[in-house]
Amino acid sequence: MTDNQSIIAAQQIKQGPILEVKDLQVDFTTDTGKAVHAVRNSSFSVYPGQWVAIVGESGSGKSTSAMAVLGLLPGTGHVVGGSIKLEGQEIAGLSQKEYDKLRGSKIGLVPQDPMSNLNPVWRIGTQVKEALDANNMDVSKEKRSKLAAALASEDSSVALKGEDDELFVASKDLPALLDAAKAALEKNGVKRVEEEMNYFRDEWVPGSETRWRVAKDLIDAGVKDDEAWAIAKKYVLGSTMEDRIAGLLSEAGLPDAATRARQFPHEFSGGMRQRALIAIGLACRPDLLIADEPTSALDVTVQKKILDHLHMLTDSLGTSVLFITHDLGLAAERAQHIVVMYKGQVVESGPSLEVLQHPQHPYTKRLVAAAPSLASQRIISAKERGENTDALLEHKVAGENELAKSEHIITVEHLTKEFKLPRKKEMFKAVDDVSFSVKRGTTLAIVGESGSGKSTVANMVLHLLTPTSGKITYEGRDTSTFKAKDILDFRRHVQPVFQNPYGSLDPMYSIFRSIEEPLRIHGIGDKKSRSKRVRELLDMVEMPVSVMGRYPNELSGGQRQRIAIARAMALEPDVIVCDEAVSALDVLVQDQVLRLLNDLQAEKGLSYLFITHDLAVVRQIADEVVVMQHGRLVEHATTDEVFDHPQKQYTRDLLDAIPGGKLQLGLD
Amino acid sequence: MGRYLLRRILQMIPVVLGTTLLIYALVFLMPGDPVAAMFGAKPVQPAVAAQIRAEYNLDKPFIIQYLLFLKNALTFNFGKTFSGQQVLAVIGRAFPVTVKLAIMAFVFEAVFGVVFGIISGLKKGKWYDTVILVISLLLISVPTFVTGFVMQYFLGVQWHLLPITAGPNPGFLDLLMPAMVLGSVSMASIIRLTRSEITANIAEDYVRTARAKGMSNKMVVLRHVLRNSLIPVVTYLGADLGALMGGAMISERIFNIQGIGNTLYQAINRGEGTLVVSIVTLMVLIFVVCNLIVDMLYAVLDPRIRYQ
Repeated sequence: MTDNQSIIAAQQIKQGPILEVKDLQVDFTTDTGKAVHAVRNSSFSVYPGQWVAIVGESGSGKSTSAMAVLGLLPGTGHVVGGSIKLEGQEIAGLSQKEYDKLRGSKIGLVPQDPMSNLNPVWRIGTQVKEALDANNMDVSKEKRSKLAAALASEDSSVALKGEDDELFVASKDLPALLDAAKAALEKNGVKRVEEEMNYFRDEWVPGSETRWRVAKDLIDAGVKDDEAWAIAKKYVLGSTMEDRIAGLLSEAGLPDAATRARQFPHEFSGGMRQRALIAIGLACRPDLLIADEPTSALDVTVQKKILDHLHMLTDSLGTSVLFITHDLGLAAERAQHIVVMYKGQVVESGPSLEVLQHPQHPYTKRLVAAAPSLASQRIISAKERGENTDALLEHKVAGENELAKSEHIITVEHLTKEFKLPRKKEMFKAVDDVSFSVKRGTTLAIVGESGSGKSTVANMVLHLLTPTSGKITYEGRDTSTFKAKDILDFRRHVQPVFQNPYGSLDPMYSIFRSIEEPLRIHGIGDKKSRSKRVRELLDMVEMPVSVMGRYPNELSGGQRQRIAIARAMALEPDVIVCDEAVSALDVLVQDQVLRLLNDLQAEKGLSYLFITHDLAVVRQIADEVVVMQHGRLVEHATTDEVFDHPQKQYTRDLLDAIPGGKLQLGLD
Repeated sequence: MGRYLLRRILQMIPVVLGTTLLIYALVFLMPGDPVAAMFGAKPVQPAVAAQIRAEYNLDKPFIIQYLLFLKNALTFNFGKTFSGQQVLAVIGRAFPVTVKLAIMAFVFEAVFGVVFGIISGLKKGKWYDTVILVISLLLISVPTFVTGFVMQYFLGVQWHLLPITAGPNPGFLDLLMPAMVLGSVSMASIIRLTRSEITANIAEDYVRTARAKGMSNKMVVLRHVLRNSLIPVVTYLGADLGALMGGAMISERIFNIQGIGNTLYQAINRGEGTLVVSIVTLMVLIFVVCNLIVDMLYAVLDPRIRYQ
């Protein structure tokens, strides 16, 4: 690989930057005709084979910069100054028609949200085909980037003789090819024929494996050069459109791609859709791929798999990647170069480790401090040095040891929830025999991927779903025996904060009305005292009183989540159930909300049941952790134990998936 | 799909039974004596009246009348009108005229509604978008008979372009103006529906992804914007076909067309229960079948919909 790296370095100097953005300015025009500067004087470059990450919070201009490069600015956005050069050619002022020729073939896109970026009415394969058709791709053979060609020509073991060596295996030729390969192996006296054949079966994917690689595999297995090339030339004759589509999907890590290509997007999980989008983005072998938060909508474990795969794929194709993310840990782990954007400007730019270890700009310092993946790392490193970590875990309530002995406020015993599946006889067990308890004044986190049943548990604890079997006790009383009046009282003491701050506030209610509503429902105080209480609550969540008259759509995600917390706090509850309460927020806001929750806990002695898929967040907030998988409880221990001595493989996988978890930090 | 279809067809039975019973009850409750209405101002001999009552089952209690009607209907015997004609023959004469009118109105509203909707949606904010929007708003807010009279006045009386009324056995030109009047409100709704669907779809993420693939604007609009936008429009159109049959009553009155709407109107005036119920049953059937076709079509157009 060192050889490869030096070749890449040489190519980078020879070819120059593939993308060079200089003093870019992007404006949006408001309804009143005023210009809003979304990006101001931003410059950055991407070199061949390089991953460059743009990091920043939502609204920092990072996505806008990327879309300006693609010529796909939304709405009234337009480039008003600066230059964008692709391979030395100015593209900032191109017409949409001219841009059509660049998009797909020169610059690819892997968009942010896999749920909304595939058209629901077309088959996955059709949507891949569109990309190939739009750029008149020759589907029978591989198209190489300049970098990949340079790398391949330096690879002395295989001499590329011509373009035909890039032809793909076709599915109809594959059986004959495998037979010929087997015969050749036996003839050359190769031992462990079956093992080699199994390797071939895995590797030789129709529509993806090329003739020269088939020849190379055969030679590596022990077949003579001439014979290997003769077989490859006879049976590798170029693929059809269907093969190529399946090959592309399979390269992106989609299993059973030929069948999958005939399915519709709604039959795919989020991770599978993102793989399809990666296949589309790379279908025409662009030199530059723009990956706009490609995994922020996915679970951590899926996120790691997909990014690993994307990394491998772009490395082997020689594609440069402009990687947009709000997670500094993720950026540092994946990219060689980091560009930090803040309020439309590039505030810092440099090699990843340099930026991470010696952040210069105050905003970068805040980002480094806030990134949850990095924060948990900070705690671990402090521990390794034998320092007192309590100072870092600010939320620890004074006299915690005494609290640990106090009674359990919520106890869950053998909780099971079954759902009826359509057209199936057996019931689906969403939650299967789960037991745990929340100690007064502490935080218990339930961690697991989507589908692990963690939200179902939360809904049962909130008395929003009835358990199939098992018992939930609140303050020693079985919640299933509650009458209507008891339930009202229970709701007053156990309050939820839900995942989606956009969905859990009524858009037709003013902020004041949203927060006041629980007080009104429970008939607390008169108009005047309720208004006073709302002011107190807003103060508590550090929001100005002036937002009372505004509506949810005028607030940012973090602000809305604060309002949701204020609403939950209105009735002075004992327990707050947070169902992915910070998952939809970007890191800085996430950090602020977590701190707020910590402070409130310390002040009011609240107990939290915290549902999340993000172990990094758990480290910051939880005292105890319950790990769930497929509805079952996998592991239950204190947070420190789970992080330091995870007992189960699944927990270790989750820990490994925390981005940037193993990076060295410069802040300690 | 097969099981779903069967279930839907079985569901049609109570719907048809319920509506016919309801209509029968309403006709029964109508004020005035149908026998007296038959003779107009002339006095009726009690013996004659009794004979007519017996012939049309008017002397029996309501529920018996209804059950007798059902029994006869099952053997396709819908009885006679007061003037002695077979009900089936009356419907058979009027129905084809209305079908012709409804299909013409349907084609009119579908073609112009979708075309203007697409133009309006793709060129939002242009002057012709505004013009189309204002006209569609006018058509929606003005009652159909006003639209009808205005068109009669200008196209017929003033400019002599089209016949003002249609007589018996109307041809294409006779029905053109009535069809336009009949389809105008739905056309305006389709313009607005198409326009809002296109506006919403063009901002979708998958449209941006399609552009990022390097597809030309024409292809993106065709495959990703229009295809998705027209799904709700097609379902609206399907449901509207049934509504057009019922809605024909007003335009048939205005233009004096001897279709099903006009026949129904006259039958209601005369209190001819059998004829009214027969026509309404037919309309209910058409409506229910149209709705079923729409639901099936929806599953074909949108792969996310699966019936079980």
